[in-house]
Amino acid sequence: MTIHDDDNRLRAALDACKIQDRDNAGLLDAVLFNAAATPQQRKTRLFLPVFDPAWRMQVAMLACLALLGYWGGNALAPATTATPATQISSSGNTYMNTLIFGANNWKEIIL
Amino acid sequence: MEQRDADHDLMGRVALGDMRAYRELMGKHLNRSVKVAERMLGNRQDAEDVMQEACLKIWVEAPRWQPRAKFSTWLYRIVLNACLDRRRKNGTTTAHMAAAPADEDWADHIADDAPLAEDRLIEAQQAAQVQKALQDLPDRQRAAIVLSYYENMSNQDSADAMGIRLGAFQQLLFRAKQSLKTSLISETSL
Repeated sequence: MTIHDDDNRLRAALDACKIQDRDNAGLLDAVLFNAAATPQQRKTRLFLPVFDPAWRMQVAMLACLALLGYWGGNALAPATTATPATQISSSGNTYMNTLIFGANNWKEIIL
Repeated sequence: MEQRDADHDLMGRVALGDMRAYRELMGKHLNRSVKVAERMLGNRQDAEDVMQEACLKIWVEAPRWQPRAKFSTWLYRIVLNACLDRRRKNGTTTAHMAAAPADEDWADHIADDAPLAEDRLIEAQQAAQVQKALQDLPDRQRAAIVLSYYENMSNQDSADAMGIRLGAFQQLLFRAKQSLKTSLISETSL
């Protein structure tokens, strides 16, 4: 064998060392079989990654829901305070009346 | 670029558990990757075992995959790491890849075609010498040669696949070539 003292000759020597092309159908079947028998590793992390866009999206959605809930609560508040709970509290349970929205109005209608 | 996009699309579907996409993706890359493993490990059986491990890892990790680099680069990285693990586990293997058929097979081979027999025998001997020199290289140097010469990957892609910086890869490749040349010179002087 000649001495390979440059890149091209080294490449030629390496080219001489071929691996035969083989049918990998059997290997592919084994690979697919293994995959079918194994569950994927889903993103079930205890600590959510700060830089994960999906995580930021979830936080943004939660924040929006919380704000909507807050505003919604405020919007409903005047309706529940329209009939002051203290008017009925003298003859009943103030805490329960204020806890159950609309209870005061029903009492007024019925009585 | 299209190949890259196609691989990314397929990988996106694999991440959702699409087995058909996984089959397509693996079918596309299996041949080349198994050859890389075979060159790294020196025998077909180990290469197939390692490929099964590597492919399973791709399936399992698919939902966490981020398309930062080419899919093939990531695949080679997994395959190379699996090969290095296998060699560490087994100790440095002395088995050399059968670049040419075994001697008895060759006897049958050359009997069929007498005028070419001598040339083919010489070729086989040369291939065996190169293969031995390649297998005697340190693992990382061999990986550099395999990626650069046999897979025709760019230095940057090879460096990414090996998880090292470009400069470090270039130095590794240079040392690998020097070692290979030295090894081949000493082989021929025997």
